[in-house]
Amino acid sequence: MIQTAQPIHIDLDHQGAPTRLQVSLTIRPGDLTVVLGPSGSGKTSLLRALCGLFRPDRGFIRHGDQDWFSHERGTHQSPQARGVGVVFQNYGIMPHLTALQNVCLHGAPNVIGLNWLDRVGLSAQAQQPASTLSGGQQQRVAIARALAQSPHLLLLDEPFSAVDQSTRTSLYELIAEIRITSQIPMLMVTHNLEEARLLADQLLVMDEGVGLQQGDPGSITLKPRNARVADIVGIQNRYKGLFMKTSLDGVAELQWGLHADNPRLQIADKGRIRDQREVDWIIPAEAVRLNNYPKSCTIRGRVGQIRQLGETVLCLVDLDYALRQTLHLTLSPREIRQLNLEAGSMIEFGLDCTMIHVMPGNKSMGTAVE
Amino acid sequence: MLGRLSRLLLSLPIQCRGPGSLWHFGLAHWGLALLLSLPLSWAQASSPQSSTETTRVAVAANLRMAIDQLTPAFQARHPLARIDFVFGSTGNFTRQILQGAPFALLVAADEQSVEVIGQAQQKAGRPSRAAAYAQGQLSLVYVKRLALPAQATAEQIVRASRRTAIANPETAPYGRAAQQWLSRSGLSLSPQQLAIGENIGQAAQFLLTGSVEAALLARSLTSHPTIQDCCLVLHLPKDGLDPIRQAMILLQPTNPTANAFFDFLMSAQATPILQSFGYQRP
Amino acid sequence: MDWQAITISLKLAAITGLLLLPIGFALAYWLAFSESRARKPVEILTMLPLILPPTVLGLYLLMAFSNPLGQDRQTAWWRVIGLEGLAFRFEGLVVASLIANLPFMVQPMVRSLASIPQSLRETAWTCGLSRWQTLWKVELPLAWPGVVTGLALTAAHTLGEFGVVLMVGGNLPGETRTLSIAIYDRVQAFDLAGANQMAAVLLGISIATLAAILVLSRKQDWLGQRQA
Repeated sequence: MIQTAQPIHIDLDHQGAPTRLQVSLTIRPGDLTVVLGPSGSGKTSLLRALCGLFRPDRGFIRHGDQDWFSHERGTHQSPQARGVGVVFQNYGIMPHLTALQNVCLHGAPNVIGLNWLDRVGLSAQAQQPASTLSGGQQQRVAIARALAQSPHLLLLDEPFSAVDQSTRTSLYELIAEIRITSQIPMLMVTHNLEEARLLADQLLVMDEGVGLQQGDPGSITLKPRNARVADIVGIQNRYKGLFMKTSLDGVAELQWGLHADNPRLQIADKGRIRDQREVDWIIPAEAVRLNNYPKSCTIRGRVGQIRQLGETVLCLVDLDYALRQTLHLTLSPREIRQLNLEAGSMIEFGLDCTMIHVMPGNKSMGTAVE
Repeated sequence: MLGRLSRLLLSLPIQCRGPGSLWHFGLAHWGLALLLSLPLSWAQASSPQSSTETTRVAVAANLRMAIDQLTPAFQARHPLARIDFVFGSTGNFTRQILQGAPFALLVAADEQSVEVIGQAQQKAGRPSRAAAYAQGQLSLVYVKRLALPAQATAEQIVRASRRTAIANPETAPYGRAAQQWLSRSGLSLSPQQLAIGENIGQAAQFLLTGSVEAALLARSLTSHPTIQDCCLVLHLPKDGLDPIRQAMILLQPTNPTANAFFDFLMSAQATPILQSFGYQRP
Repeated sequence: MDWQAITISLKLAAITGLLLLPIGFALAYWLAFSESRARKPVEILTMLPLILPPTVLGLYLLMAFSNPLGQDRQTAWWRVIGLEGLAFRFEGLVVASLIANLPFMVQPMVRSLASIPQSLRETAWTCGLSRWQTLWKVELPLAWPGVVTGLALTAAHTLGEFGVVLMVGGNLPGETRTLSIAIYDRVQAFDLAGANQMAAVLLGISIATLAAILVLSRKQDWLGQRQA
């Protein structure tokens, strides 16, 4: 049943209606590619272009060596011909059919449909009218249906947005399992940060129709291309600063904030940013150390707010040294107790300045500057 | 039966979902439509004499009562003949015939219509037979509740009525005659005082439903029991009025039944029946 | 009781309904799903018989259909395609009925089809269902209430049609004398009892039709139910 999965190569440039779309991407078999971006960022257009419901102006979409879309060659295969399994945002469940009939909509034999229903845990509901199923159950029927047609590509459009947490967890597990067993290239569209970070093998960040940065989530989180990507990926500790070269080779100074009196941090100079340049820069969460830090990189501040978010606690620290900046710290409740923190108490921590990441100053989309 | 029908209709969507093809459904559908589109021969077959086709005769509305009496006499002589009589206004029938309506014979309420049709027949190169068969009379019918003295004149009756009905002068010869009588009697009625029926029959309906108190009808209609029940009748004299000469014209000269009826209507057997309804031979 | 008239009326209603069903459905489908700019004008055209007085429609049809006596045969286009000679015939009533009932058949179907969420159709396509398969398995079952309503309204409207039938058909017993015309005829023959009898039959059929629409469209109303 497992066919040799092929990668999907995408390069699209569409400037007209309904929205702009400019993306270059490869979806590899066995990988879950997540497209992350706010609403209106073109994620849905990308999805529709992939399954054949939308024809871009220029570019190509290639499945292995087969053209699904090629502007040059004038080909545009219909959705029926591509074999792309889609789980739409509102599931697309046919209310007048049973769950099994839904799964076998494309003509797959019942035995395959029942098999997939079993794998999503709904074999008991096979003969039930689909309209009587709950949202989560309909979601799973939609997934089973998309997979039962042995697709060349699986597309998921914000699949977990309307689902409660416990169902979400079981669906994550299901996706993970499918990824391993079937090696189908998968692309998921979401605006949910945690989901993207949790599930993605490859992350594509989109904004206003353009693919801004792609790669594994870890490296994007550590080294976002620009301030916009940093925002979308949910990096909270982002600041403006001034980049200044020093007389030492490979060493530069970063002024925290735009005020000339603000403290300066010593960071690496990779030779990509000019002197006296205004920059955006970030402090990744891993760079903040509560223990075992050298005295040279100490930051002091006063705890402003403590917010409990499930199993972690968000601490907003107002920094000292006449800085009017806030640092977001995510701590476990144990650490809060250990440090005896509460609103108003002083806190001191170390900063690993080698992990500071500097980005060009304005929200330019273009050239990669470290 | 409604239950079975609704179950049948409800099961159709289920058949849609099944493996049966669109072709089969479409075929069944068109088959059914075609079957129902077959000529109406079976509807006509329900009539006793299905061997002969029905002959259609258009008759002016004023002859409705007379035809009821004439038909048995005609059938006695021609037991196998089958005639469908259609009643209406002469003007309407003339228009329809000129537009190709399939009547075999028109028994009109005037002569002009017959002449017009005769000319058209000639231009089409079809021979036709026409003859004046009767001369009709006008009667004034009025409701009993007007409670007028027995010697009341026609003019008094009309003046005492809030509204008077006549047939449409444009299409019905009796309507024209009624209008002529009204103007000759010096009665000028405003539109609110006059109700115009599409034909004599409808004018009578106005009277019977109480919309009017008086109506100028063909004398032949006044013997109907419904009219006798509700109303009083005053036959109007012929003097001073143009005679209401009624003619008929044969439209399908090869139709034996139509020919037979034509001859019958002109014959001596028909005369007493016609006269009993107030018609005279011209 | 004029059984011939009842038969003619029922036949007219059945034939009109069955012939208009595929035509109306094809038109409704195009109106519901097409992106063409011609959509609005065409939709207005299909609604035209609704606002046209029946006698106006009857007049135009009569002029197109009539086979004039003693006049030169003119080669107008409708004569060439064979519409001539349909006046005063049952077939002429069928044609007139098809035109007069177009909005009654098309409108409910358009509403029903248009209420199918686009995502359902797109889902069907991405599942590999061709346009015809999507029609058969998805669109038709979901739009079924509209189809039934269109059919029932057409049948009921045809049964009650008077002006057009009288103009185009005349009052020929066994050919064009429908039930409504027969009632009119009975009244003019001073036979109110007979007229009442047939009016009761017509009323009964209309009520049955209405009941049928209500029952059938509620039972198959998939789209009214909660959907994801």
